[in-house]
Amino acid sequence: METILVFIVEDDPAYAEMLQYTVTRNPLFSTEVFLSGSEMLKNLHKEPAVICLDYFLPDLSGNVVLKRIREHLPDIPVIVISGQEDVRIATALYREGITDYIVKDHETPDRIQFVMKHLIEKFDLRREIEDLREEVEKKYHYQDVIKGQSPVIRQVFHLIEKATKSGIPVMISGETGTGKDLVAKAIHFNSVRKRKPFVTVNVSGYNSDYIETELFGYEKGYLSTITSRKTGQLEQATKGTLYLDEITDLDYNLQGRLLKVIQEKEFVRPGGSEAVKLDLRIIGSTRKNIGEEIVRGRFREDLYYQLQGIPIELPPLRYRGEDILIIAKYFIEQYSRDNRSPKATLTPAAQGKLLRYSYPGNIRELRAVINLACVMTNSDMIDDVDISFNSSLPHSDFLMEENSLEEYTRKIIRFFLQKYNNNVLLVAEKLDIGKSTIYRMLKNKEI
Amino acid sequence: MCEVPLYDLTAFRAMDEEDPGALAKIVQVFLDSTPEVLHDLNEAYQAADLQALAHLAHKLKATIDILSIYPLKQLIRDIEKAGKTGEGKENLPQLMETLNRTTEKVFTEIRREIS
Repeated sequence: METILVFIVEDDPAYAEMLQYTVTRNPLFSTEVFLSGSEMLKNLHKEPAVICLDYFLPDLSGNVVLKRIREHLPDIPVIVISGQEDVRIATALYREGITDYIVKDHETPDRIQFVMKHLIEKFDLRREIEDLREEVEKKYHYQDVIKGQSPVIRQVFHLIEKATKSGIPVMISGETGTGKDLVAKAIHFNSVRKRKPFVTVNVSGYNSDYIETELFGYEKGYLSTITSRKTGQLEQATKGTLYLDEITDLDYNLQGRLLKVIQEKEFVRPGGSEAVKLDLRIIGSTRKNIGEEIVRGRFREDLYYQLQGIPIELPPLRYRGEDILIIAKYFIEQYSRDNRSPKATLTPAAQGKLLRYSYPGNIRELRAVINLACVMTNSDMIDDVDISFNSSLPHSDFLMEENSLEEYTRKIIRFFLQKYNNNVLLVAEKLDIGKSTIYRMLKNKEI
Repeated sequence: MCEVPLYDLTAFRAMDEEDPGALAKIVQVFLDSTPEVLHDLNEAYQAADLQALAHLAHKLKATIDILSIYPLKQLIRDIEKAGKTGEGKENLPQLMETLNRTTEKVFTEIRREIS
């Protein structure tokens, strides 16, 4: 059985023995006794879960020992056991964050037992939180949440991995339904900030006053109707990640304020005067073409350069070829698990139908299509007739672009090359054109 | 007349019920370690080193409290106070004499009880 290690620091061997005995009456605890403060400090690397500290030690004062403990293990519960019933010392120590102050008398063993019992409850709670955290981390392991093996998605994995190992901002772009939120979470939950908050602010669809309040909060009395302080999302994300979803929709004036905050790493709450220090990572996302937004004067170029960091462009599903089938199978498994139904398989005809569609709603749309197919099938096979696409959605805005025929040709060839992993022979066969045409266009950098 | 007991091991008896031998083990540590503290305390007293006297009295106080050695509970505090502040310093000869005599008596009684 794994035990909870408790350090006992007590210079009186008889008393130390008694403390040791009292603590280990609960088999969940194991102890190590130190007769001096310095000896205990040398052993802090063993990472005890609790420290019972005699305040009056021959070598170091209790204050010093406590300070050194806090430097190494800031959150560790420390129970101070003292022969001195001094309210001033006790108050000061409680202010330093000790768990309890126990005076040495005949009731000490009972008091220790009581405190330790409460600590076990706390440890159980902490362990539960730890388990939940691990579950979340596992849930957001990027190769588990983002399915696919196509070259374009492998490049995305590569960038996500880089982003998890760095602390610089990340800008995720991609059409609606490509999984931008999942990528943002995967980066956070695989980074060094994973134990700290992941705070999402959806910038799109809200007025600028609301977003300002959400981001910066306010001080009591900011407006006559405001009676208490509100902590903004910037502060709530301290030491963690702030995810600004659809950041290009942020009001232009707020973009300026956000830029200032990022540059100065601090801000003042509206209605306040005190600067709030910030330590967070920002991940932004957008479904729009940022370059275009800058050119049209809707997004600040200087903010873009501050946030650009690692740019991750999520490819539309229609460019991901065989990934469509990998994701479809994943959704079938999910459906089967959630509905406790047998896992269906896709017939070749169904696979062909799925591969030919353009998915304007991307992965979100594919999930809906698969869920419906799982409902519609009457067997353990999903056939092409079970698959239906929402005809009200445009298949593609391809023709709406009104390009020249030459440009359309280039786009078509580029699309097929991406879809078939740059296999020129296969693309030439699919489009019924000569392979030399493709090679020539590649050589001339036309595609 | 109700006589005040010399000491009280109730706190350890409960432990002993759960784990026979616990009482003897803890008390033995007390019997082994206290004479040294007592010796140092006497030495500090003889040398009139009040700071050391206060420190050693403080150390002994915890053991006296946990074993509930009633006759020494206030006495050890008085020694500590005399060492720390000088207050009641003139009583130290008598306090030390009582301390030595009583602890000897407690040692004998406890040895007899746990043997």
